[in-house]
Amino acid sequence: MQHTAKVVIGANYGDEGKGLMTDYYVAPAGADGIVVRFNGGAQAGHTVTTPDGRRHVFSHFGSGSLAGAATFLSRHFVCHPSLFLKEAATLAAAGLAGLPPVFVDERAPVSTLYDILLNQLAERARGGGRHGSCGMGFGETIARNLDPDFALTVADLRQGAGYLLHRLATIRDRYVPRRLAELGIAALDAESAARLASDAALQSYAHAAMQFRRATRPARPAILADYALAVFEGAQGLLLDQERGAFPWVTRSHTGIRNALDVAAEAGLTALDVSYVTRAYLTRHGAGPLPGELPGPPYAGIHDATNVPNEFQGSLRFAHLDLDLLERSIRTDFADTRACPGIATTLNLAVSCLDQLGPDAHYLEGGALKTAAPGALAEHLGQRLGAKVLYTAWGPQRNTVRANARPGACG
Amino acid sequence: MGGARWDEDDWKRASAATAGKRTEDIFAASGMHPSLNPYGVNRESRDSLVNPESNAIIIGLDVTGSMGIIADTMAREGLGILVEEILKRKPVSDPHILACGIGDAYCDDAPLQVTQFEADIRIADQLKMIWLEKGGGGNSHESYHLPWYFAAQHTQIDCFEKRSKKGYLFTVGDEEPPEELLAAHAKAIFGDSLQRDLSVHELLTLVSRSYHVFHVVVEEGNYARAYLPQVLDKWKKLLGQRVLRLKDYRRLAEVVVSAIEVNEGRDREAVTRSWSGDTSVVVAHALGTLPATTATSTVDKLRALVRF
Repeated sequence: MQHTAKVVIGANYGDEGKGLMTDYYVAPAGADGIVVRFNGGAQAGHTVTTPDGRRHVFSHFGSGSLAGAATFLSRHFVCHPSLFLKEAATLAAAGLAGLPPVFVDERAPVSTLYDILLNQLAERARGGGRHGSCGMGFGETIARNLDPDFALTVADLRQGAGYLLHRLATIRDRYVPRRLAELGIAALDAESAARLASDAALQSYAHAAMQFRRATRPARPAILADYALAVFEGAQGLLLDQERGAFPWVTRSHTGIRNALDVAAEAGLTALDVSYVTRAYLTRHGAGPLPGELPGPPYAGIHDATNVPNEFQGSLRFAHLDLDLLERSIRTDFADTRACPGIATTLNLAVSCLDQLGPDAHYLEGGALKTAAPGALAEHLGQRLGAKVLYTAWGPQRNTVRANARPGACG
Repeated sequence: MGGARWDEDDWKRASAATAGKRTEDIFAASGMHPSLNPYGVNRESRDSLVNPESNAIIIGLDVTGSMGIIADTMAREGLGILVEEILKRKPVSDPHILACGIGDAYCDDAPLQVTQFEADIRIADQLKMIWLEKGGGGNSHESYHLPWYFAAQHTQIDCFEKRSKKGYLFTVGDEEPPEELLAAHAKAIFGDSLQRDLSVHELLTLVSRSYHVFHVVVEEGNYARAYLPQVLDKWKKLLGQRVLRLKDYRRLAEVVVSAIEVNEGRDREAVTRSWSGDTSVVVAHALGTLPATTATSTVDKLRALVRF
């Protein structure tokens, strides 16, 4: 049994390298490791590339799966049965024989087909004023689950298909009209109306949910004690936090340390080794403000196969890293650890994509554009934060990560 | 935040609007169809102008794994033939037929699926929707009592309510009867809150108030082939002579129709002889010593005493 867990948190708008760092931390433990998802849902896209060249973009499974680590979906994770099944099939097709076990907290909310439909309708209705949602119904799921009459959790799936079909029909018939009115959508187009009315869609979704139920195992956070190493894998980034990001271009989730502390306390963990991750430059996927936005990628070496443009999110946008903003975001988030005096925490920094910069890294500090060697930029940022360990990643695989302990630094 | 690898695709597949196809044609029937879900619903068999003297008949077919390939044939063809045969021979007047798919309350997603009561072959569309989950598990029984509970608590039938004439309920399968209905299962499957578990005897008493209850043992089923004496013994202890032994699963229709006819008072030998060749042998095997005496209810007997 272990008492110290690792935590990986994105410091910006997502796409920082959380998948890479999660894989890096958990790989030495292999099947004795477990990855905890403590926020967001299947809209995450965490890329892991193994040293032997396998590549997968994780959304519902923990990013330690290729390394053989188990997954724990905590009560702060929004489950999405059909996406889970698709990802399981993709992983199986990629030759991952015998998927590592996936445990799920029965209190975790579950997305329904109607949340997805509502999300897409709402984003379309906003037109040019889109919020940058992924179109998967995450925010709608959270909103619906606030009402006990229409909430749906993993525990509900265990009641069987009969109960689930009944519950879904209740959501369709009583919740959806109310929500459409709230969203100001007066009339549905013919296609959306047909989708909403489709019995076959309902049947197919419920069937997927039942398969999800069978493919996962019920567990409480105490399950973490059965593993040699737990790695908490955050989703999105601090600048998308529902309270600290720029509303409404945020996710309906606490993207920082808060939920991780909650799960860790339930699990009886006594220490967390927290790593904030950033690329060596700033990116944003989807709508919303991006201070200092550049017309295109700032370095010729930037290549991103994960973020393909889609109807709901647009394409990836770029800016230089603003060290003042970054330090403020990280320190603000890390301050939340004071609320849990029973859990000892240390602050670390991971900087990814350093190999893409060429000889000169550009960054903003005190309002001025500065230049340094990539390694020096990372070192400088680590010093500003007082990071205990500085991790630098010089490629997409875990074997390109260098750990640089900084004696004397404190968390 | 990665890409939306899922958003439109599933909806498009699920949508009725694509390519002018009916939604039901796009999907293979996986999972329970919402219209067959017994949760929180009632089914009615009502008299009408066309069917002034309706009689309710419920047929529940075991669709678990032990039935193997037989389940496919019986569900996809056998039930349809049975409905046609009942409508053709009319062992009772104006039959209203409801079909059930029976699974296992302990481990299946869909332990019970129920169609509407239908008076004609329109029921065929609903039979097609029954999902053959092929579940069931390590236990020796399937949940044959679920149609009993449903019939007793969630059907309203004019034959009984208006004319004190019981409906018919046949379950069809190869395993043993279950011992009880757990309150938790009743909650999950029907949405009903029971104060305690109900024994299979209690359920039988409950359903026998308004239905004649029969069970058809499919002797070719995998479980029955291995444990036939045990299966028959347990069913006979529960239902006595109303256990019908089906040795050729393609003759379900003839056996069920014959059992109703005998129960309605026709001579057993005459009913058996009414079928040709092999079929009469199968029917004779099935009916055993089924008596005709139970068809007339106490109320009917009392009514017979009254002369207008």
